[in-house]
Amino acid sequence: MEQPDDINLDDAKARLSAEDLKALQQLLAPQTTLDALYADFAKEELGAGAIGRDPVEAGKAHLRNLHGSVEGFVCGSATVRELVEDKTANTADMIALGAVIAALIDQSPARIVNTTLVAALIVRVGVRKFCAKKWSA
Amino acid sequence: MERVSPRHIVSAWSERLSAGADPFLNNPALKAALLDPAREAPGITASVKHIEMLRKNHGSYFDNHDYDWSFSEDAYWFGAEANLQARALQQTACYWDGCREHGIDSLPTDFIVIRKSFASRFDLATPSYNTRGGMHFIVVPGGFHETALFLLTTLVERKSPLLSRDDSWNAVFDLDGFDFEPDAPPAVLIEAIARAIADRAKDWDPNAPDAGDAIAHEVAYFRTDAPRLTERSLPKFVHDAAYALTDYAIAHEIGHRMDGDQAINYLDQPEGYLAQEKQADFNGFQLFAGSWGYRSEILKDAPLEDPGRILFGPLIFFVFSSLRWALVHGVLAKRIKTTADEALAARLQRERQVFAAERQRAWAMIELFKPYAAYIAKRGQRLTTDDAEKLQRIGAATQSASTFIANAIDAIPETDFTEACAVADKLAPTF
Repeated sequence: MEQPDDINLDDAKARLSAEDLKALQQLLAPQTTLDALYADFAKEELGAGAIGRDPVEAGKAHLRNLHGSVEGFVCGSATVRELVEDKTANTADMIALGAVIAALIDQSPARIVNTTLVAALIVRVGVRKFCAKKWSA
Repeated sequence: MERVSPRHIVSAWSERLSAGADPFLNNPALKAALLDPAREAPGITASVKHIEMLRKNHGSYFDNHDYDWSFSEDAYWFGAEANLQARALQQTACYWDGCREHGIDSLPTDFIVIRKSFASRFDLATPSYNTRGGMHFIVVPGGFHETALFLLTTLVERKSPLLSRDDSWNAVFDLDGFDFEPDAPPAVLIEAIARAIADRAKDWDPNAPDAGDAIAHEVAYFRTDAPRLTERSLPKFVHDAAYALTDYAIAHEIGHRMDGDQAINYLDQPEGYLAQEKQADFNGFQLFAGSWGYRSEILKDAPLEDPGRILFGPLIFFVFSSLRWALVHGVLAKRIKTTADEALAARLQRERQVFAAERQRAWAMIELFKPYAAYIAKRGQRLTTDDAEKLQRIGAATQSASTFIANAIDAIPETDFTEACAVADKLAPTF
């Protein structure tokens, strides 16, 4: 597997455009549900199906499929771990965490996906859950 | 304009789509384990030869559509991809020639790429259509073929367990089914139910035990001495029907490409979703019917005349859709009934609502049979009364088999069912 470079918070913010940061803020706003994020992700990534699929479940499956491609990048990052373990984290820190994750995914084989949306999904799902396999190893 | 290269096809797939569509191919170690180029080479070569033959017979199509890349073996990782690509081109090339012959404007069929994914879930097993890098991808999950084999085998073995390979076509027309209920579900259905319960744990950790196998090993109800589906030869009907089903599903997805469809979320726009699917069905039928000739060898054992064999395509899509609905919906309904977790029940309820669309969709397919019969009649093919009755018998057998599957799931003792769910949950991701 390609070895990722870690990234610090300032670099991550610098890499994201102002539009991406604004999008991240909206995606992580409390009124945006996790299910809505999954459904948006499925719509964007999966296209038309032969027979009806539940968009939320399809979005989840899609994120799980991506897991192997991004796990090393996201879960191997000391910056991500530090932000997750910061017990004083607030909403602004969540957006910062999203920015770091988006920048890390941008280095991964999955970089072509909507990295902001995937980063928001990982933050909303919970980085600890997403990284459970790697962090418990 | 620059021609599309094999490298462009492979990079558009591997860089832009496969990471989400396939759980394993972006992990180099897993890809190496799954992909043995020496094993795949003969299949790729044979399919490329088939495409070269197509070019000889449909030169005008290939002159007017950029499929140069499809003749290069470097454009494929797996023999199955090349095989599916050849089958897609067979349909689109015949459609193009047919339109020209009848002076009809054809809808666009260029830049279509078929790829196989290793995703194996039953609930998400249907092929999908998406555009990436200027190409129109049709992704066929491995689970699609596997689900079809389980369900079609259930259809015939419901009446004659472990049917011999050669008797199955005639047995199928004897499946009126309403007067026969076996004492117990056939082993293949029990295995299929275990696989459906296992769905959420599938495609997750390749180093963990397979959740379907784990259920069969750990839960008394799902243990069986009968040979697993993968260990026995398939009834001929199942083999033939699965082939026709895959061709029809590809035709349907190309039907989306022909109209330039965008994904519609059924929950937001149920009517728009169903209308789009119905139109893709009709487009697909034109492809399937127009490319009939090459398929007659594959269905040579089917006791049907050619028009009956053509209509067997959409019929088997209906059969698959109905039986899959019965299986997945039945498992969801039982989980809702047996779980104490309200959030889980609400989520499963939503999934069930989407699967209700599949039921509606299946019936919409039946409504299209009259226009389909009219379409082939216009081209000089008339369905015989005898064949119409045989196809109706398969339709009726499908209805009773759907009820049978639902009843079989309902009859599983609650303790065994919840134990099976717990086995799968332990192996599933936590998000």
